[in-house]
Amino acid sequence: MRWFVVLLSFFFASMPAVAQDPKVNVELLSSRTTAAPGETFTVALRQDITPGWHTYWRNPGDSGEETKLHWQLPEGWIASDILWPAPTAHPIPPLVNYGYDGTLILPVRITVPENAVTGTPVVLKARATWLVCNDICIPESAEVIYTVNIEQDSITDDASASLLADAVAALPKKADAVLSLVLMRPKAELDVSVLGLGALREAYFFPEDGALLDHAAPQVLRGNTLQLKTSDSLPVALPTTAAGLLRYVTESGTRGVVQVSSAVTVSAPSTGDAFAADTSGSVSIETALLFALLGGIILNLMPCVFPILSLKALSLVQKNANVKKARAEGVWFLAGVQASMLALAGLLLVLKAGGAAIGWGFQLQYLPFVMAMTLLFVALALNLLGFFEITGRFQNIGDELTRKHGGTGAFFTGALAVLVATPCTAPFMGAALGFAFTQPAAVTLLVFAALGLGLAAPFLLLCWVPALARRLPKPGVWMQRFREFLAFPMLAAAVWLFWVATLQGGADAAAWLLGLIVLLSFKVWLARVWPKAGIALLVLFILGAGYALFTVTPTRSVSSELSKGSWSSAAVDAALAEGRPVLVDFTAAWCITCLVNERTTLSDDAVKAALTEAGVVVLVADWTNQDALITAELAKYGRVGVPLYLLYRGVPGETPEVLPQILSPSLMLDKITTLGKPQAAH
Amino acid sequence: MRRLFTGLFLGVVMLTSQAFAAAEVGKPAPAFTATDSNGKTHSLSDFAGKTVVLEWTNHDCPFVKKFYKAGKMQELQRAATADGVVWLSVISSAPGKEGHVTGAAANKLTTDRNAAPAAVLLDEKGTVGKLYGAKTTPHFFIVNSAGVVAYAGAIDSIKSTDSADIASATNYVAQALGELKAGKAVSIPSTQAYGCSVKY
Repeated sequence: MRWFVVLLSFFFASMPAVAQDPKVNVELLSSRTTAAPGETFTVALRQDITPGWHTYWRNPGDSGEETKLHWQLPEGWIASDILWPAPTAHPIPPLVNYGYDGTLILPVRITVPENAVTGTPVVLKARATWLVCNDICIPESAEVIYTVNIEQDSITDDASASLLADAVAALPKKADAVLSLVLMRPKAELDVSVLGLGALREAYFFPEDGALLDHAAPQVLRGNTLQLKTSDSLPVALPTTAAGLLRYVTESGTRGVVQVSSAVTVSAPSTGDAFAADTSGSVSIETALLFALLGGIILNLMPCVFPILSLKALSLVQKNANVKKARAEGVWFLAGVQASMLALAGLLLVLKAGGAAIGWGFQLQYLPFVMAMTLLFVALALNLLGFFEITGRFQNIGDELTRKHGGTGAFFTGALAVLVATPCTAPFMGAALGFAFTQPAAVTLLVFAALGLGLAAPFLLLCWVPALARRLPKPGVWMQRFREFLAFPMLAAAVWLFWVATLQGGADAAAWLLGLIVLLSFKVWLARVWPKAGIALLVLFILGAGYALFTVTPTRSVSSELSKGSWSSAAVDAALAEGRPVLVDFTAAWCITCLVNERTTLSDDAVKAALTEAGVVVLVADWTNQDALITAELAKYGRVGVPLYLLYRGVPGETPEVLPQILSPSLMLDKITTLGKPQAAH
Repeated sequence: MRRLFTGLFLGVVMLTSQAFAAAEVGKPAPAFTATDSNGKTHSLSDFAGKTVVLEWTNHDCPFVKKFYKAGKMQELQRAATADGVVWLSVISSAPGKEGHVTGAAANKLTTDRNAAPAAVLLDEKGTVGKLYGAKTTPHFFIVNSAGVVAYAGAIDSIKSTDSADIASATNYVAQALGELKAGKAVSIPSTQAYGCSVKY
């Protein structure tokens, strides 16, 4: 007896697992026992899945394999694809699968040929294969058969027909509207508002194409937009449409699943370099706000801002104002900064909404703005030097207002500080502001507000804490000298703006600007000796300036030290096709950081030699004037401004390395030497 | 001030990129160090200048068996090794999970299956797997001689556990290795991996 048991168990053990203990039992069901020629009816594969195990949807998610039916039908018979019911998401951290458990009905539509011979039974046969998994996976398969009669009048199978009808009725319905799916690696957004479901409480998108989205990333619903993440294995050629299922719960509690199709568009990455890896909205917002705040504080030290703010600070000393008054002044100053900052951000948002391809620093791409700023800086310098103190009511500079004591004066100092700070914000605040402009308008304004708060912070602190104000040096003659001295950083800034203007407008711009400066000086002199002529001359000056600003036309020029090519994506592709590394330098004449990098690093002899030796093709994308192509390329890397340095290693189709915004020769040499060598993650 | 700003900027860049390092096609391959089935330590940098294949595997997974039973994985390993490619099999199954093996068991599997990897890396904590974002077995990553990820994804184009499908499928790994050998760009650098989930 015992040997028999041993033999029996041996026999069973040697049998394949599937035959011994299938995890899924299958059966082919049909809504018809007898079908008529030319008609279409429903059959279905029923899977009875062992509890704790699951089979897969058409897109199995991160792992697994969908159930398949390989039909072996007689000539002329047609089987549709499986009509997939809505799956559920099975998380197995760090992965997610899409599949089913319990009892599953997979309907298929069968079409009988017109010429089917009546009176002859037909065998519907298919090999079903599926993968069934819990912690481990087992591939299973079975041959399924259903024999159906052919007669002129079809006969319903009572047992199966209602079951199949219910299953078909439960299939997700097709939505008429076409959604929009925007891929902004690594983020993606699916706008579901066109479905007209009203306010949604929950939503989840099951993509049919498994290569498109990161299945395991949380899907966050914001209004009617579902925030997703793109897959790591996005194909090079992206599809133009993406089908899938949308499971939702409305605010009123209605649940449903619809079959949706969406148009796919590719947009700029959603975040700047410093935030590229961070995909969760709230964290990057906080980081961006912190950056903006710090950036604002740093702006106080800029050559264009420092003179104005230090004078304002000294006015506190002069006045020996009481604490309450000083605090009020601080708050007015903050209000001025914020008003000006938000107006600027608002203007930019409006222009962007209007479809203008602009980024931060855009104002410096407009020659009239650069020329006006040059004149403003010269005027401020003349004022600091004591050549004029405007006391009239018709000043256009804002200077007198800024020196006025009390609320109005503080407000205008703040507003002016922002205006003169713009040339400096552009290059230094690129990353944080780049982030700001990819966010909803409210977040953009918030980032600007943080920048303004940072800019106002030091002065606000001085006003708020009398002890600090008392620590400022006592008033005296030195204050006059200090004020005069501050004219020189102002003039230096004017020289730089002048240079930018000549790059943009050529000799015409230079002549006009110098002419206007002469006129400005003349006006200042005349106002002292013959005050009445002042107003007339002021009008003349404004007319002249206005005429100049709108007649001088931008010209284009590139200054360079290295032998550089002009950037185009074709030029990059061509170099990469030859296997040559490429350095792309996105720059603009008005960008201080770009110029600093140019002087300290890109013009460095050792760097130039190393670049030449490594065969690096250097391409310059000059953004001094507006250029939609360059703006679009910057957007790909989450930037709305320059500088941006991209280093390609020489592999066609590669994603380049984004170098830091501030270069140094050692960093550059390091990068050049690692070209062609494996490199650690950084 | 410039130094302060540079410091701040670099600090943030480093923080974010370290926390989210992953193998991305066209980017430098994440550096790693792992111990093989013989207790020997390997770092990616040891293979500088060579093409490296990383094969995530689990000997009990039907998708892996599909290739080993048919002898196709071994064939691919030998062909790659003959071309100077370093083939590393990586097992990221956690202890107690399917596919987890000791060094001795891993060596026995190599002998029994007549496999030819340069080394079998035991990554039972899943460190390397998560660093690369390995999702399935098999899942392949090819690092080119410049240390850049040149391919990431499936072994071939037909998602099944049936060995009969191998012949009619496009083998992406073989194709990528062939293109790299010929000094060409990898024409299909990224595909969706298919298989069992990695048993982290």
